Amino acid sequence: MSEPQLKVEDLRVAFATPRGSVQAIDGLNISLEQGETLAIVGESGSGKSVTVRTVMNLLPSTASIEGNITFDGLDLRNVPKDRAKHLWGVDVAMIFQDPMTSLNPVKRIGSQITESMRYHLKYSKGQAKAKAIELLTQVGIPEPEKRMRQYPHELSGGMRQRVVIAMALACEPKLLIADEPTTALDVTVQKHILDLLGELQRERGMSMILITHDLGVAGGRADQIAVMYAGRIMEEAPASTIFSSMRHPYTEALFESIPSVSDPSHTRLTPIPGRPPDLLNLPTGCRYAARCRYAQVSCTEALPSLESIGTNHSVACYLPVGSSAAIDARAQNEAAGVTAAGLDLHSNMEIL
Amino acid sequence: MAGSGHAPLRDDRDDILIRVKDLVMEFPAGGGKVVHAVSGVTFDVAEGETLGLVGESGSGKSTTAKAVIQLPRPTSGSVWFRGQELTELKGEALRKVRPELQMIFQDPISSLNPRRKVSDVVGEGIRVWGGSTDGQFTEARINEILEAVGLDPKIAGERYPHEFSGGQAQRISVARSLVLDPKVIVCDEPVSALDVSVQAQILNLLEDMKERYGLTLLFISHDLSVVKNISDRVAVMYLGKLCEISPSDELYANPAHPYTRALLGAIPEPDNPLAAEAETLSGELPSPITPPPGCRFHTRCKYATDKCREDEPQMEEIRPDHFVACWHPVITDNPVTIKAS
Amino acid sequence: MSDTTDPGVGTQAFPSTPKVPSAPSKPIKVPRRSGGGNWLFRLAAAWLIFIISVTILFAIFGDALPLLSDPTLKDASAIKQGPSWEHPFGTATFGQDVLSRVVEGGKISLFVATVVTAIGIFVGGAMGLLAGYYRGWVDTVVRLLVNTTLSIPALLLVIFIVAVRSQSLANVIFAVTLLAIPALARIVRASTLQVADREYVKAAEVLGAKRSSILIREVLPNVMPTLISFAFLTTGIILVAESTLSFLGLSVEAPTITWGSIISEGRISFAETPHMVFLPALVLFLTVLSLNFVGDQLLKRYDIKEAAIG
Repeated sequence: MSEPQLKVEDLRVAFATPRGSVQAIDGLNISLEQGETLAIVGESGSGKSVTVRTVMNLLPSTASIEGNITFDGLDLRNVPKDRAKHLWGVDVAMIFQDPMTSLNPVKRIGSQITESMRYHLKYSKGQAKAKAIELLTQVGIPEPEKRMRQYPHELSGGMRQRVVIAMALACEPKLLIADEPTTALDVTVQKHILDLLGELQRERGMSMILITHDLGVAGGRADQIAVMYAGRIMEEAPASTIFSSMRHPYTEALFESIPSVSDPSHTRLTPIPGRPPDLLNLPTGCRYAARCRYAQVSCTEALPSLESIGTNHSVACYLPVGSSAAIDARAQNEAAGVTAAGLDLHSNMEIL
Repeated sequence: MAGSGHAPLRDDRDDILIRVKDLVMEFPAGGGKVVHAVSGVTFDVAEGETLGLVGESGSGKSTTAKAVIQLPRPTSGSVWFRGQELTELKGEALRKVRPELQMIFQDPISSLNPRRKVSDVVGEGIRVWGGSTDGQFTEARINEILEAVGLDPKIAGERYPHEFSGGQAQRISVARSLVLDPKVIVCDEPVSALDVSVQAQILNLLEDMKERYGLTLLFISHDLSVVKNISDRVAVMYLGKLCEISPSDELYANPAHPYTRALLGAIPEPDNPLAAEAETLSGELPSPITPPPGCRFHTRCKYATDKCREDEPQMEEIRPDHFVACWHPVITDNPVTIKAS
Repeated sequence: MSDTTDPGVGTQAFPSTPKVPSAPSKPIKVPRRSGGGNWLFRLAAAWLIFIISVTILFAIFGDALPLLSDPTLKDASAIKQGPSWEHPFGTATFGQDVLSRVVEGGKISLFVATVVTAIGIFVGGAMGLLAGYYRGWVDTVVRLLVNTTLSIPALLLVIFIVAVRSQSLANVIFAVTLLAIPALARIVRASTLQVADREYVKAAEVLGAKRSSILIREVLPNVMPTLISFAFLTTGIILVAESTLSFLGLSVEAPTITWGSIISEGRISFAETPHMVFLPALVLFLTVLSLNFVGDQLLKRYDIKEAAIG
């Protein structure tokens, strides 16, 4: 197998804050093949956004970064100056949750799209304009000539996100990072944008990293799904595998906690008790142990590493769901009413 | 005006708590223009029932629910609550019914005053209306409610809101709304700002509190799965109008309005049988300043005919207790099942 | 406003478009664990301590300090001398000790600034709060008053007031206060508008709390930080404004001394005695700078955005 397009090895990112060091990412590995889509799923504070911001070189100077990131054989942590100018935003482009963060409110759509092509690709004015109209048509914006002369505030949220996608695609990126691209949009618009991203990716053979908190969004769109929790990948598997045979207790609990349209109304939900750990003060063992119904003493003592358990499927857990050890552990905890990590299985009181 | 009809009213029942008739809410938009946020909405809510309101942003779902509790008073129409016409109450009379009608907001952080202790936030209602003279009742009540929402009163009461996570802050909001023993709680997207794992905690909590304190809920959300889970009945809104209202399982099994079908089709599930319906949802949401004539959905509907462009459809009962305002409702004998992944 | 040599009277003595910190919708990192209200008191205390300690120290011990003499005492043997051990700030036109005059002038200047700020905060703050919370006709009236006052050239207004009445201390305070009130009213109104839109204000309304009670219990405490930080900035601006008036001969008449009048007097013989301008100006500059600094720090501290992680 050839070298993957993007490779992140043992990435650690910490932020200095007045209250101490926040360990946002703690030993993360990613490998993404050309043309593949990786979805990173996680809750707020899981480190999914920090991961891609590290790849995009967008972290503030207060961040301390360790580990290796290579893109197309290029060491992203040490990019020569002249290469850097035409790397981020050109070969690697990003779409943000709120389209207005990428749009200049006082500039016309047209000049915002053509700008990067003229700078990076040295297009003439006419060339850039023609390409911009072509791009707007591709992203499904009606009357592109008219839109080129409009300002961002004249467009709806969905249209703005399409413009942002067109801008990201202007310089033919090899890798597109989409950070919650549809979270701020209505469900009906969300579907259109996700379909559009999938289509454009197939046509261009582009790779994509999709950041989302919504397993449903990730399921239909990604080849590979990585579930993150408190700065670490808990489980990574092909999309179909993760839905049919998830092995990490956190993935399992996440699925159970989401209300499903197929269940009758008033179906009792199974929430995950407690809340994610404080990144200022992480526990020694598994990051999820305190909320896990399988937790044993071993889970609280040492951090489990991400181990391969099948084709493209790895899990960071001593007691993967479905294993006999896990079944025993859970039965034992249920009988005791409390897990080895001190989680009271029958209390609905918040731990303060 | 051509409203959407009074058919959904269940006047034969004697446990109706809220009856909303021809509710209209308009806001000035500058330059003499008017935003038609809600245009003639009629529905009722029975005691102990949870009515879910769904729709895209701009559908008027939130405005409708807030107008029910007179926040602010609707432009026209009637809101009947337990024998009282709320729209006619003014000043002190309206203030007197406020304790019965509470609300939980979307942003758990912004809905708590950062400069007041949690026990003060939760006890505010008692302070306003007075507990017993020795203050005992006050403290006991605050503690009882905090415990009911899963917070340890000894620890939580002394802290400030910024010391809590989003889910915990939302529990505090629930506690504040419960302290006056209300009949109705309007829940305005109460779980949208929360992480998925915490959403379930709050949804379960609302179900428990509803049971324990005999509440009636008006639940607003853009998330159809959440709405289905918590609601007894669901009302679908589009551009200030009611499209469809029905018991929730019935609505999700037999969606008849093209807009409802499109919304369901947009749920990101891998094998969504209605996906094609969302596909055909073309174009943009029209401006509420100049809503389209006839059926307001006709500009984006694949079934639209000339009739839809001219005449406004009225609410009609297509199945028992299932009402639709559409000239071309989709009525089949094959219920839809959206398979969960 | 660190450029104290150009106070800008004549165009506008107060910033017409103040930078109002957005009242945070995200968790506010209230400093220290002691919680919500306390730090406000600490800040208010810091301010009062600063103003009061300086003024009182000067007022009580000024005369007792060995270096200070009667600021009006004329000494023909020491006219227009440069700084020396005996006269650290040099001497003035008639041999008065400049340091003593700065101390004496400071009493008046600081008194004027403090009184004006206090009235400005009380009246302007109340106007802004009422306008921002009740909106409607109250807002219309307040906005009309504020905009009218702010659109009259400040200098003209002050000249008019002082000319029609007299150049007494009370009239100077009155004139400058007339300028401070609308400026503060505007800032407080903007901040109140933001706070009044917060959901906790709606929540109190839903609970049935009375409007006046909501204003005092929910809105005011959250507008206070903005108000207090602007109080510091305003005090600095007033100090400069008063000095400018003196410089133009429009402030309190001799023999009452203010910082502005000392600088103004020195200007006449500037080539001979630059110390008569520079040293008092330095004192004014440092005072205003420290007030601005404290005000800015407060604004910054209050305006912390939630760190985005994850």
